[in-house]
Amino acid sequence: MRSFAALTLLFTLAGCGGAGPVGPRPESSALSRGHTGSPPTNSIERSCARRRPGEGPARIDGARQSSAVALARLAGRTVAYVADADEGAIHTLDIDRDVELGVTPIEGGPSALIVLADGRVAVSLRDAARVDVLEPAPAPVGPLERLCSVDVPEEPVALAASPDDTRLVVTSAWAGRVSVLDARDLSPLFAVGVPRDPRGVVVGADGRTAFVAHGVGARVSAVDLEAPTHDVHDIDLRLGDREKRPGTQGYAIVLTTLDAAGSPRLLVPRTTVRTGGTVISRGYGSVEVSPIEPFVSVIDPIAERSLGQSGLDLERHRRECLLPRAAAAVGDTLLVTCLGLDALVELDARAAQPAASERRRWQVPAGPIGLAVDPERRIAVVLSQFAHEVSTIDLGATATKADRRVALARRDTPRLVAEAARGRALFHATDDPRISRDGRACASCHPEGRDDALTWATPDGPRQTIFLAGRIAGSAPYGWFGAHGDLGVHLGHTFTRLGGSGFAAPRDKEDLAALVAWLRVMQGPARAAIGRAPSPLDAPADTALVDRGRRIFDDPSVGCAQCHGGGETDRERHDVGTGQAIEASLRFDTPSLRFLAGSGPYFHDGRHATLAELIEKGDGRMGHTAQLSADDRAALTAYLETL
Amino acid sequence: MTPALRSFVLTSLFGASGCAATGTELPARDVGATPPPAASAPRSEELAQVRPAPSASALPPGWTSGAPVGAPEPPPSPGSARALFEKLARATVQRTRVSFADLPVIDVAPIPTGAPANGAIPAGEPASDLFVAPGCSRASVRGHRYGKIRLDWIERPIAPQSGAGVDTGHVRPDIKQWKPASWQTLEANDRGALVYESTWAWFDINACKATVIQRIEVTPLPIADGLAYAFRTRCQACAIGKQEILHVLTPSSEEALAHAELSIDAGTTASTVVELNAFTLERFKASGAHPSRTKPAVIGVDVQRGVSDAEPVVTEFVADPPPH
Repeated sequence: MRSFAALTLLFTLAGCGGAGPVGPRPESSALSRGHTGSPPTNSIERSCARRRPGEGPARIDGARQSSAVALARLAGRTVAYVADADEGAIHTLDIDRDVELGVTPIEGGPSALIVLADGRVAVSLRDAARVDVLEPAPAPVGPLERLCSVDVPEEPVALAASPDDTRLVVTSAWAGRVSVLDARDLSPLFAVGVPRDPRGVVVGADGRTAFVAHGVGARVSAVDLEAPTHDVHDIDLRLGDREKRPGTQGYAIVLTTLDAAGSPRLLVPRTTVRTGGTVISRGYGSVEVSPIEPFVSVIDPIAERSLGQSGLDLERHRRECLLPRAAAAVGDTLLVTCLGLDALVELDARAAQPAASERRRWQVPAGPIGLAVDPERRIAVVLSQFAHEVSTIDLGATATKADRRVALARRDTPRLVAEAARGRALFHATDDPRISRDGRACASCHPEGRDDALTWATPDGPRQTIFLAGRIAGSAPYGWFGAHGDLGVHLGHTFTRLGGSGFAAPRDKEDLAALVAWLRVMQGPARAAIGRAPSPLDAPADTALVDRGRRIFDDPSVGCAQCHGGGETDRERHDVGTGQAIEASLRFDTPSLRFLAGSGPYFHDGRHATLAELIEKGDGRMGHTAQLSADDRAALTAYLETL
Repeated sequence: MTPALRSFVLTSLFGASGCAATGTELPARDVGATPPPAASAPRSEELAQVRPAPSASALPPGWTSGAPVGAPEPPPSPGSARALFEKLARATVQRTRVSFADLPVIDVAPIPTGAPANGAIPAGEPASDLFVAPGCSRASVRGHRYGKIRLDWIERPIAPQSGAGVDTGHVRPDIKQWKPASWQTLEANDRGALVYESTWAWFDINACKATVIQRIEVTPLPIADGLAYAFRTRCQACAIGKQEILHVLTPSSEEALAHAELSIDAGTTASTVVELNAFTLERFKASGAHPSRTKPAVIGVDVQRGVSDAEPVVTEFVADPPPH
């Protein structure tokens, strides 16, 4: 007890000792080795090794997956590290006392962090395309100190440690790559390409396979970590043997065992989607049946296959988890944070469909995107990004709301203005009757403001979901027909088609303005790899090929740049011969080509799955590509992928 | 005001103004306290609303402590749209693991799929318990009080006040002589245990007689508070997906006895949900069962089996039905 009191005093007094600046930049050799991929050297290992081994918070046993929250233990107390992407910082909290201990500002938006076996903290910096490893402060009130960094493919969003703690696996959402680093010194080991939008990652119990969830596409990638070829096996999560119902929102993946005898499972909270096919419908998808339903894919990690769930058809309820974000599992308990719902839900992982077997639900502050569980203490710690709060939930208690909450420190001038912050919350609001009749949120089809890679039945015919983030400002008019010069009016049109009542009422005007504000400031993928020295983990890039593609793009005889100069839009409507008899109009608004690589399928009706296919088969419709050689088409594709 | 509360309040009010408040008040609160686990962390409902802010000196320049948090925001209004009001929040359910080892198991042969040719005589014993009314108008089962009978595609309950078996009019006349027939019963034996009997037969529409192809009898395991009964079968000669089956028997409002077959082959999941009303539960007593509840209920049984699982994970739940 005396030691505990002394520790408490140390926690508190150390905070008065003055927080030092962020730790020094890593030695250049650390970075250079990351770039060259040369074998580990002692000097590098020292640069990334712990400076004060054994001091500071230690990892909680078994925690080998990242989230926006990670827990550690210091002399019997629970410490939380929180990745604050909004303010660009890592917060350190004493969870037992519900108090914030310190802040470590950090460049690049920290998206996820993980406590390594020796207590170091690895953080993925999404905007900087980098992973940093940080030394914990001996008393957690002090700032974390950066030990080393490594450039990784664009948009690192999640991390996982191998069971033997020797490797660190990183998923890069925009680059579509999975990188594997040496956990000791962060040296790059290898990277592989995976399908679009890899998100959560976990390494299997035998350490041989990394399982990666995908935000779109209803799939999990199983990456072979052992074989020299590092093959990627696609686990199809689409629902039904014949229907192959797609899905979205696959942000999280967790590994658990259902009982002491084994029964290992991978669990992926997500949604299933009925797009309505290639017809004209009354709404987006349908207004008769629920186009989007909550779902949890149950996967056998040994067989690397989804356990058949085709027979289930969930009855639509109100206040469902349509935007699952973070997850954790302990035994047969699956915990999922849900945006829009602003809740932590506990599901029974033993059920044939865990989404339909909810045990409990806790209300948490707005925007729960991070989750960490301390199985020993039976607590769950949730980061609510929109409310900028961390809440602690006693899983052993009967309360249904998070009473233990801590407001995180902020910059004196918050990076996100209040109106846009309000707009972000509205963008993720499920069950808002102003937006939709069936509970859908804007983010249901536009996760993170991007697109769901789907083509929906709409009253105008089949339409692929448009990529919004970073494309809105300066791109009026809006809609495929360019019918609305005002973004607010276009939103109202969209909400009507979703069965929502809209924001026309005077009391809703501020909310509409907030939503518009958010749409305008919403950031697209940070293309941090462009212009930097190439990382060995990046996909091979051929700058000469890209330059050649740029010249082809700008060539008047090809005709791309006339409407898409610089990859943008001429803000005009054109009949480019792509309309079909089903269309209400044959003149389509020129879309921006920004972030084209991650916005397939292509054309207004999603008829082309890939850019290469679009260029090959789209001749005479948008520009002229038939005269291009295969190499020229490859060059044009390479350029378009850089936009 | 308790010392602990005073400490928190002081820290909240003065923590940002200097280290003294934080440095003296917080340890004072904790000195002598039992080191937490979290569940025993010193707090109360009052304290839950007041959080100490970090010392300003622990923050980098240009940062401000988080304000003390207030009461949690109320959940969003469901709004005025009728569509949302018409939908119910999903009810919570608490599942219980069913001991797989306790489930009785019997070996069975595949049920034939193709009917014998006209004029052929299928191998099997005559179905002596099948009673066919004079004129071959109806078929029922002798000596049973709870179950169901099926002839070709029509199924009828065997239960009090539920008619006298199944009409044979829909199969006669037909160009095919042999029609599938089956009858299943669930009834208490002398010791009070419910026994399940199932007979599968070919029915001769010309002779109005049946030939038994398979007959099984088992004392199933009561699950879901005795509102459901379960056993399993093994069928090595059956197709994949039907080699191991979990059979779930429940009362049913329509057919008296509902019989769900859930595949427990490796690499599968399966599920059944049955809603029981008061009439169904009352009628179930005809079987000799003593239902644990008279109020309407929803019961569910789920199965999960990974490829490498030694045995399936079987769970059940009983819950109140959603309001209509």
